[in-house]
Amino acid sequence: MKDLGVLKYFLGVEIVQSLEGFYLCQRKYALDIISEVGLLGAKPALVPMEQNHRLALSTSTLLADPELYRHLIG
Amino acid sequence: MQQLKEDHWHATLRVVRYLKQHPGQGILLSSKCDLRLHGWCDADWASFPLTRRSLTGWIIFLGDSPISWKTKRQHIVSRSSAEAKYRSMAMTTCELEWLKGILFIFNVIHSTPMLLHCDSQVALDISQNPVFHDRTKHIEVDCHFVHDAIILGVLVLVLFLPMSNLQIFYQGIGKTTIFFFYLASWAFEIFTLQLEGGIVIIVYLYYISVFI
Repeated sequence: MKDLGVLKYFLGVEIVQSLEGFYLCQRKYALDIISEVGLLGAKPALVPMEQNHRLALSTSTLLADPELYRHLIG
Repeated sequence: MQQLKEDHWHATLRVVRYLKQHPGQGILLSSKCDLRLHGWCDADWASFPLTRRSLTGWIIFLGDSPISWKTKRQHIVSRSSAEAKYRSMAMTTCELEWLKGILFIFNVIHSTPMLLHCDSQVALDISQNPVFHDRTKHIEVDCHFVHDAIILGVLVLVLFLPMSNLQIFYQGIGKTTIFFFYLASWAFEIFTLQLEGGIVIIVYLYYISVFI
């Protein structure tokens, strides 16, 4: 068996080891998602979701291409 | 998922734009750890407008490090917020017990009781009360489950202040809340600076890791 050294990247999770502990993040995965939707140049949002949203009761028009949506939310 | 509207798409894009602000944000699994499990649970009563189901939200810490979390819509309609919270308590107890089993496999003996934090005094009172009556009859299964865990000394319940960071799990949050969330969360950001000669400096930009 071959020793591949210190664990750095595994299953999409980036790992940094230090005296304080292990730091885990998914920077590459997050950037991949952002570039896939073409929002790399967009203004970042401060808050992920509106407070008191009424999405379930939405009356807006039906989505023309639901495939992309389903792909994005996994 | 059947009736996808434009609004859903815009909400999704907003999440992606939020992601863009801190793509490298992650979690720190601290090396200073007392190997004790802490659970935090809460519920948002009747929050789903179409069926009036409640939402469960919980997070479990091993020492200071978050290891497991979930938000899930409950299956049954709850008639009071205490009931909804009690259901979320039972769900969290389930997960805590399971994690304790996992720790046991890794030869970590969790000898002290696990702590379960809940913000509802009523739900806490129900769990301490050995007698079940009309008002708790329909949640009896959950009651027995949590109650047994307490009697066995596996679990200790703790009350925490209502305006907690757990709201992030089930509610849309405003700018002020998210600011406080950063102030009091486990959220870390990391920057690696690559210098000449291949020296890598790791800079942690982290917010005070104390849960309110």
